[in-house]
Amino acid sequence: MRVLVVEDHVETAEYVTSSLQAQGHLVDHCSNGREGFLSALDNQYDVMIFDRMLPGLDGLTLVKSVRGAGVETPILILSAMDGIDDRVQGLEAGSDDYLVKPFSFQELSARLAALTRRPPLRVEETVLQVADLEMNLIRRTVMRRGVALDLQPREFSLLEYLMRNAGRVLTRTMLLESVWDFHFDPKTNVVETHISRLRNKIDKPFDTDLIHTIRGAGYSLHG
Amino acid sequence: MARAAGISGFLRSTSARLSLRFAVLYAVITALVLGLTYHFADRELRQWVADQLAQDAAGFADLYQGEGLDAVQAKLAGFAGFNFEDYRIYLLVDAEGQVLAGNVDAIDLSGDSGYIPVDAIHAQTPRYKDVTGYLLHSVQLGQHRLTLGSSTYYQEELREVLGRGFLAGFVLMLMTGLLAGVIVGHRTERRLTQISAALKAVSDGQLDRRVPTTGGDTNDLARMADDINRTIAQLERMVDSQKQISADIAHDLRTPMQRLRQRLDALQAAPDLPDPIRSAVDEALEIADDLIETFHALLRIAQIEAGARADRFADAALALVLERVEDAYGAVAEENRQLLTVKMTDHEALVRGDQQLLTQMISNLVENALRHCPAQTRIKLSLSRLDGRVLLQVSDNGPGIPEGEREKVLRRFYRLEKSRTTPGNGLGLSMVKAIADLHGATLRFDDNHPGLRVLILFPLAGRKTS
Repeated sequence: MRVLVVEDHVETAEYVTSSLQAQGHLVDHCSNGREGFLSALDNQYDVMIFDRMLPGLDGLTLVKSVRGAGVETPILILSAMDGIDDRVQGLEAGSDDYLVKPFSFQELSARLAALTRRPPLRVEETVLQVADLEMNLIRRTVMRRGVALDLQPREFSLLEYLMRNAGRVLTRTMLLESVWDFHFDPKTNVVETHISRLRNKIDKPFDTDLIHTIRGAGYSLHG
Repeated sequence: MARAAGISGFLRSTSARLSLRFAVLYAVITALVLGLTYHFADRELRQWVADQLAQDAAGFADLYQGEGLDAVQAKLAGFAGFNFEDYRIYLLVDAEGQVLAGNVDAIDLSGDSGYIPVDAIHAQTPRYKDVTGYLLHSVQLGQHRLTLGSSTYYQEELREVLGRGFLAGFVLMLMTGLLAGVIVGHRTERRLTQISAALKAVSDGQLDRRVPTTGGDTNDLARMADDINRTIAQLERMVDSQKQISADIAHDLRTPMQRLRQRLDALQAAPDLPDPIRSAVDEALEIADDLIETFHALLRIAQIEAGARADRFADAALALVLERVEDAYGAVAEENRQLLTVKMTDHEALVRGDQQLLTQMISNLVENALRHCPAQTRIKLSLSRLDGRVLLQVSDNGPGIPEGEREKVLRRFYRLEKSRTTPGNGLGLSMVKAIADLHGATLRFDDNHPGLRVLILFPLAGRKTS
């Protein structure tokens, strides 16, 4: 995919750019807001990464300008760790996700993948299907190989999120934010506990596993 | 209620007591001045009356010498014709004490002249009621004796006028003193209220607050306000520079931490790493992440303490937050063979706040209990009303916190001796305290007999109307 990185910090820009390129993506890099704005308008990107603090035009203004110009490409904002309000402000400005520095590339990569996926959710879409696992969103039922599975409400929303992002890596932080709306790092294994319970229900009774642990990154659901 | 408190508050205030004292002092001085005035005026008046009597007596003596007794009697008869409120009395007696002329029947004379009370005067007609006595002057006319008297009417009048004056003056002085006291006291009180409001705001973290000053005012309170403002400004500068230092450190450390993490990340991604090195890299990454997390928490606490997010406050339903926390940690508790329960007697209570921060605060407390309590511990979350406020409690029957340590656990990085071996950065409760403070809630640690009971008392914002 084609990615625009607007980041003035040389080392971070280098790290993000080279890591993305190593994954086979096409990367354009701009080191200030004005250049970033022009690039965003001139080219078709799949996703854009803006630093919150930029010389010339700061990240939030850049997001607003780009959105104002009618560009709807998903935007992820990188923010310094002392910006407690940045997430809300970023989302209000029109960005789609937010990541605090320093971050691991796996986290960034997983979030970018989730952003670019974005299948337009059809209104009539009431059934999610991954391999032999089927989820009915209206009746709120889950079946695997025709066997009905009894899930707790939170297990259901966790599985729904995994199924909607099937084949993608979902980090612990992404799960906490999306499933529990937790925007802090819990000191206990909340995610692990719930994943393990979910596994007991959808994987354990069957011979093939659907939930996979991605070492050092997170989880992924696929057949 | 508030008004009564205001008045009694005013009476207790220093300025009010001072103005009362001054009012009393003024009144005493007024009384003294008026008393002296009366004394001197009275003496002058007596002298004047006595002189007049002596003059009249001398006139009669001359008349007797020149024209004889008949002329004296004729003149006295003429005088007796009018009686101005018994102002004057006359009595002429012969050597045997027979009354020859006069407007009274007899006078019990104790001496030849001087003052006698009205009772000593005997007459057919009753004396005028305001007259209490007479000043007398007697003169010998041959064998006869003439006594002239002048009533104390003028002295009475003088006393009455001065008395009224004194009373009016006293009341006026007292009223003026009190009024001045109330006005001055009110102004002083207002200034003092402004000063304490400013100081309270400052102690609540609003270091940009100042005592309002009116230009040109140079009284002691204005000077004090200036001094206080200078002190706050100094404090603000110090805190700012402290914050600047923290921000500088954060900024300076951010880059190397980021680099450290990026290098380790890149190293971990290398395909053909020998196993011992790979596990060492994994461990180093974990440590780096802990470091970053601690740093992150510190900066977050500092920002919350500085009032970040307060302008984004909305009505938050604590019941919802509690349900969400139970939902996330109930399973974790079960895995630990602990029990997490929620008991809510008030589902509708709303508080002004930030739902995410409130979630983090309650999560931190629950995680604390989960991590520091053994298996079989019961952890209870409860929400209720107390005196029009919202009471949130997190209690457990675990080991608890010794009484002397309960304040200390709120300090950054402070950890109980027994929990040093469990993972954690010692910032969880500092975060809880910062979030509670931001929401104007009071945080208390109590003994749960056994275990720990954390009480957080929120101001009530309203009630859910659904």
